[in-house]
Amino acid sequence: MDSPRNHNDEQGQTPPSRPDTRAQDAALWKRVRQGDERAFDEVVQRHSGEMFRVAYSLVGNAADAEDVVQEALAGAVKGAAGFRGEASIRTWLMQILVRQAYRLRRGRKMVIPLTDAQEVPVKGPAEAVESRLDVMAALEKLSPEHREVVVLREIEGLSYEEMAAALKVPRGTVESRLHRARQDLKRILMIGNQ
Amino acid sequence: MACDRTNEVQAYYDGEMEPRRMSEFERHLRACVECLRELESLKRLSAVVGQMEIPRLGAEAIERMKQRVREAAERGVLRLAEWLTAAAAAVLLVGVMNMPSGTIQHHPSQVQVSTVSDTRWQDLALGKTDSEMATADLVSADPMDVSTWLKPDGAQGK
Repeated sequence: MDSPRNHNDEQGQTPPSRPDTRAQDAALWKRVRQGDERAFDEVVQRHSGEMFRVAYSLVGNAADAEDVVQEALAGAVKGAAGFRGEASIRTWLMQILVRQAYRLRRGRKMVIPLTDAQEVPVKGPAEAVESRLDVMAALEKLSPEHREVVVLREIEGLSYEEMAAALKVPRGTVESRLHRARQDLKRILMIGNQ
Repeated sequence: MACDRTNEVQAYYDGEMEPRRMSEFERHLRACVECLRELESLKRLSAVVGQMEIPRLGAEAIERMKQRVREAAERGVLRLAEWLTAAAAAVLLVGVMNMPSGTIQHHPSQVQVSTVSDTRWQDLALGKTDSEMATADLVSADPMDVSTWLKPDGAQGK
């Protein structure tokens, strides 16, 4: 029997909930609150990559994703004094990021820019579902709430508690949304229970 | 026959199932084709989504972000300064308005002045405009609520 999946280990990333990572984050944000400009740069260096992955998966193109991350980080630095440590820095940043992505999408009609899509070569119609374009198109068909939970879980590996904190909803809501989102995504991508 | 435990597969798959329940659920999985199929479909879904190519942020993009963050931090300091100036002015005005009555005297030092509240900072972080952010939490004076003073018709700010 395969053991339950640990998303972060599979990706080889340092789990964000490790005490040393959180301690490093806390020290960094203390310097941000003190107005240390080098700390601002470190925040960008440290968090922009993973935030971009999430933003890209939410908004569908690199330019908008960069804007969303930029605004989210700028907002986080501006509001650093108000962060009281109830959640991890990462969760807090995800909360701001998700809101910014939602605002951007709400502000305009989001269409997948087919011109800049780089299709992964597919072997044939049977493998079409594995192309990057299909996955992004499939994500686009989900509601914003469903897309958020799928991206935060499948792309970023947040735990249910972290997602609940980032989305400001109860844990039970996260679980039910994720379940429905995955069922919808499987149907769109034609992944059945075989 | 349909299994009524397929909705538990997700928590097991995500490693979110309570440890004390896992052993029992794994025994169930070994005997339940439907739950096993659900587990396999979740694995396939993750594999497909994981193949989605996501571009990496380039060095230039990161530098742009650093610049933007520095600018935002500077503006945040300026905005706070304007804020505190406005708060101080409001406090003085409340004190002045109450003094002439002779029956209620408020010294500025007795007026509750809220510092930048947590919600205010979060509003800044979420990029709300000034018009969106309420000034009701700016100053709270006893017995006068300055937010009602700021809105002569008594309506609360949004």
